[in-house]
Amino acid sequence: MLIKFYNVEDDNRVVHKTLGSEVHTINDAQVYNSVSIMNPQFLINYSAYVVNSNYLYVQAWNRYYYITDITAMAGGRCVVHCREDVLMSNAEAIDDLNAYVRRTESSKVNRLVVDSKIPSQANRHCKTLTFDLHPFNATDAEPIYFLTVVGGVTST
Amino acid sequence: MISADFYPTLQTYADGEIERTDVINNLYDNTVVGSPYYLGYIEHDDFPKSFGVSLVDYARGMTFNNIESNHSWGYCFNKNVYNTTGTSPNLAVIQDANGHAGIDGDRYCFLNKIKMAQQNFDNTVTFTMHFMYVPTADIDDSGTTYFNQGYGFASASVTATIEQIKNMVDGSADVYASWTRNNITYPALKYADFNEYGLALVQSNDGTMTAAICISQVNIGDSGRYSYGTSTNVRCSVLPFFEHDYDDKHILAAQGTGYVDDPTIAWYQSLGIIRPHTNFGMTYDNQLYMFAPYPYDILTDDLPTYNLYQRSGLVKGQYFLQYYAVYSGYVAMYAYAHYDLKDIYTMMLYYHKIYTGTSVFSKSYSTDISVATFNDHDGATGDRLSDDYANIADQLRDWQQPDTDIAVNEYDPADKPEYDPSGDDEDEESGTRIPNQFRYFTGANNFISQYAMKASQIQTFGQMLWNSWADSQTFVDAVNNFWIALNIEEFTGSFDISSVMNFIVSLKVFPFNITHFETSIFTLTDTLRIGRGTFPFLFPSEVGNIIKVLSNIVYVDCGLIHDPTTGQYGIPRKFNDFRDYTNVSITCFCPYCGTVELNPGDVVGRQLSCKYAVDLQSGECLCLITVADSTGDLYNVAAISGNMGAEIPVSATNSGLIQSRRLSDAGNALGLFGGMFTENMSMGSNTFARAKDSQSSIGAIASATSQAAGNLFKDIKQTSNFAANMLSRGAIGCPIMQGGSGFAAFSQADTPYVQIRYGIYSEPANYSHSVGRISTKSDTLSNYKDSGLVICENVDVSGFTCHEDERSEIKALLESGVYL
Repeated sequence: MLIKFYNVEDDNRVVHKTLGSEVHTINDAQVYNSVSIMNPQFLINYSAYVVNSNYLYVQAWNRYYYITDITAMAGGRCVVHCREDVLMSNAEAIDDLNAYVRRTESSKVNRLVVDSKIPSQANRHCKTLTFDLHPFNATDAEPIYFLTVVGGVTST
Repeated sequence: MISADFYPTLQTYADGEIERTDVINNLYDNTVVGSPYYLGYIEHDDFPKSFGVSLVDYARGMTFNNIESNHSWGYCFNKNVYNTTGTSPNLAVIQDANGHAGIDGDRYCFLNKIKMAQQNFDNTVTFTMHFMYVPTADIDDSGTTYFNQGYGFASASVTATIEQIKNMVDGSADVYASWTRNNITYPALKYADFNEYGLALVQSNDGTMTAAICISQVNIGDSGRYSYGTSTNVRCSVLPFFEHDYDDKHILAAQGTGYVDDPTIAWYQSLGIIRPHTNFGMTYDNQLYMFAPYPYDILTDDLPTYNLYQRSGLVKGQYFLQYYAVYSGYVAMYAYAHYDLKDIYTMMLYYHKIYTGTSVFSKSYSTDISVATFNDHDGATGDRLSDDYANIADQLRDWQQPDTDIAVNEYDPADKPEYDPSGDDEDEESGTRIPNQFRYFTGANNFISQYAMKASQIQTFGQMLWNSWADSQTFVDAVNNFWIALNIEEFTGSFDISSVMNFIVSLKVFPFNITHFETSIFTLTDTLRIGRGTFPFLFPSEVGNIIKVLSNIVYVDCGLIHDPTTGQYGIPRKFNDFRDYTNVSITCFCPYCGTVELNPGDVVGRQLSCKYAVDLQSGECLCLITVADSTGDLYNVAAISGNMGAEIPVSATNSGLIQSRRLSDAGNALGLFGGMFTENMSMGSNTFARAKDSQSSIGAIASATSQAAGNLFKDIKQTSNFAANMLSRGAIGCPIMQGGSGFAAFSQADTPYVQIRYGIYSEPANYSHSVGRISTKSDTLSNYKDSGLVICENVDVSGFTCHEDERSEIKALLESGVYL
C-alpha cells in the first residue's frame, strides 16, 4: 500500500491543507489489525521520517489522515495510528457545496444585521455635534424687539 | 476633489475620436441632446488684463493669419459682414488659406484653424478650441466641414495663475449698486476686488487656475464617433459677440438683407455701429445669449439696446450674462441681469440641478483630466483666496455631487464594506412623504401692525412715547414733519399717552438678529404708526429705519449638523455597520423647545438641518428637524414646539401679569430678572400713578413716566446684554425652560445640537478570524476559498459520495466552522 507522509502545520479545520513537499513515500505499508477506514493503523518499518511526519495520504483509499500516534514495535517496525481528515479528503466536494453561510471572515458580510457576539460594554461614548449656524448666539445676534400695535395701517 | 465629475473622462481613441455614447453619458442629465451635429469646448490658458481703450481700436489691430485648412471649428456669420477691406473694421474678416471665408449662401462660415495673433494684450491669451464633429459628405475641396444645421454651444474658460486673475481685476473697484429695467431692479455687479468677488476657479496640477463657463444646447448626431478637432489656438481675449436677427431696428439697417434665422454663434462688428466689443455669446433662433466682459463705466437701464453698446473702456474681467427673447424649450436664465463669472458659473450649475428637460447647460469638456482637479482653496495660492471663494468652491463641489450623495460622513464611501445583495443597506420606504410647508402668514392685517426694532430703536420709541411732547421739541418736530410731509396741516391735536398705550398689544424680545429675517417679509420704514395713524412716530435718521413686518411667521435657519473639529457635515457613521443604528441614542436639543429623540435609522449617514418657524406675535416657535432623502428632498424627522419670545411690560396694567408669569418661569434661579423688573416697573407705575393722581400737567406725567420708561428700556438693554452674556456662555446641560416665556429661557444653550451616544464594543483584533461576521448569503463555498473562516448552517451534504460517518463529520465541521 502506497502512503505519502507529510508534515502539515494547518489547523485541522482548514479544508485545503498546505501539504508542502513529501517527507517520505513508502509502498509497503500494511493495514494493522482490523480497523475502520476513518481510524486506520498502518504497520511500517520504523524510520526517522515517521516521527517527523504528522499527516499522510493513502493513495489506494484516496484519503488524507492525521497521524494521531505512533507505536514502536520490536523488530524495527512501528504502528502508525491515524484519523481521517474528512475535509481534505472531500475538499473538492466541499468546494462545490452550496450552503447557507451564517458567519464568515470574508467581506461577504451583511454589516447591518445585528451581531450579538461582539462584546458590548455598559458605558457609552458621547459625541456632540452642533448645527453650523448660530442665530441665537449672542456674539452673532443682537436680540430683536417685536412690537405689535393695534391699527397702524398706512393711511391712504 | 470632483475632477471626474466636472471634467468627465472621455474614452479617447488613438485617432482622437470619442464615442458618441461617451459624450452623451457625460453630459449633465438635463442637457438637451438633439441632432445635429456637434459638441465642442473651448479652452484658453490666460486672460487679458485689458482690451485697450476701445474695441474698435482693438479690432483694427487684429491680424488673422496662419489659417489652415483643418476644419477644426467654425462660427457662422452673414456675408454682409464679410468685409475684408474698407475703412470700417470688421471682425468678421476671416478666411481660410484657400480664400474660403465660410460665405456660403450667406449662411455658414466654417472657419479653419485660426490663430489670431498680434493682438495688443497685456497678457498672452490663448483660446484653444476643440469642436467635435462628424465629418460628412459636405466637406468641400477646401477642407471645410459644413454642418447642416447651426448649433448652440458656447463655452469659454479662463486659465490663469491666481496672480494673473488678481491683476485682471485690480483697479476695478467700481461698484454698481443696481440697475433697473421694466421696473425690475436687478442686482448689479459688485466688483470691489478679487477678494470679494473672485472667479470660480479650478486649480490644475500645474498651479494654474481655470474658470469655465459653458452655455449650451448641445446637439449631437445620432451616430458615429466624434472627432476632436485639431486644437486651435486663438489668441484673443473674449470672442466678440455676434448678434443675429436680434434687433431689427439696430441691425438690419446696417446689415441690409441676408439675415437668416439659423442658430448661429459668431462674432460680428456691424458697420457704422459700435457693437458690443468683446462679447462672447451665441444666438439661437431669435434668442441671444451673451457672455461678455463689460466696461465698468455705466450700465444703462435699457439693456440690451443700442445705448448699452456704446460703452468703451477697459474691461476688467467683469461679465454679464443676458438672453434675449426666450422661446419655448429654453430656460430663461437671467433677463438682462449681469453677473460676474462666479455667479454665472454657479448659477449654471444651479440651473442644471433644478430644471428638468430644458436646461441649456452642459458640462465643460476637457481632454486633460489634470485640469480637472477642483481644489478648494489650499496650497500655495490658498492664502490669497477669500472666504467667498472658498464658499463658492464648496458650493460648486457640493452641487456637482450626485444627488444620491446626501450622506456626508467621516467615512470614505470607498471603505464601505461589501454588502450582501440579499440585504439592503438603505431603509426601505414606501408611501408618500408630506414635505414641510413653509408659509408666511400675513398677521399684519388691517387690525394690527407689527414692527421689529433693535434695542436702540426701541429705546428711542420709549423716549418718544414717554417724553412730553411739550417737553420734547424733537418729537414735536418729528410729528409735525410727518404731517407736513403728507401735505397736511401741522398736527395740533392733543397727545394722550394713555391712548397710545391702549393700542400697544405686546412687546417681545427674541434672541436672534434681525438679519435672520427673510427680506421678502419686511419693509424698512422710518415711521411707526399706531391706531388709526393718529400717532405716527417718525424715527430720526440716526437710529436707522425700523422694520415693518409683513408676516407673523419668520423662519430662523440653524443650518446643518456639523462637526467643527473635523469640518464634516452630517450624522457620521461611526462603525459603518449595525452598531450605527442599534444600541445608539441620538438626541437633538432645540433651544427654547427642548429635546427630541431621533430615530438613528432616519438620520445616520444623512444630512440634518434645523429650522425654526417663529410666531413673532405670540413668541411660539416650532423647531423642525429635517433630513434629505436619497432624492435630495427634505422631510421631517422631528418637530418640537416652544416659545422664544420674552414679553416685556410696556404699561403698568400688564406689568403685573407679565411679572408673575416671568417669575413663574424664571423661578428663584433668575430672581435677578424678576427683582430688576419688579423694582423698575414698580417705580415706573408708582411714579405714573402719583403723577396721575396729582392731576398735574401731562408734562409732569411725562417727566415721571419718562424716568420709568427710560429705566425700563435701559433695563431692556441691560437685560438683553445679560441674556446675551448667558447665551454666550452656552450653558449646555442647564435646565431647559421649555415653553418658557421669560428671559429665563435665554439662559439655556443657544445653539441646537445633537448628542449621539454610541455603544462601546470590546471587539478583539482577531474577531473576524475567530468568530466571523454575519452573512446572510447562500453561496457556493468555492467562492469563499482563501477567505478564511466560514460557518454554515444546516448543511445539506447530499451528493457526497463518502461514507455516512464521514458525511456526518463533514456536516458537523462545516456547521462549527472551517477555514476555506
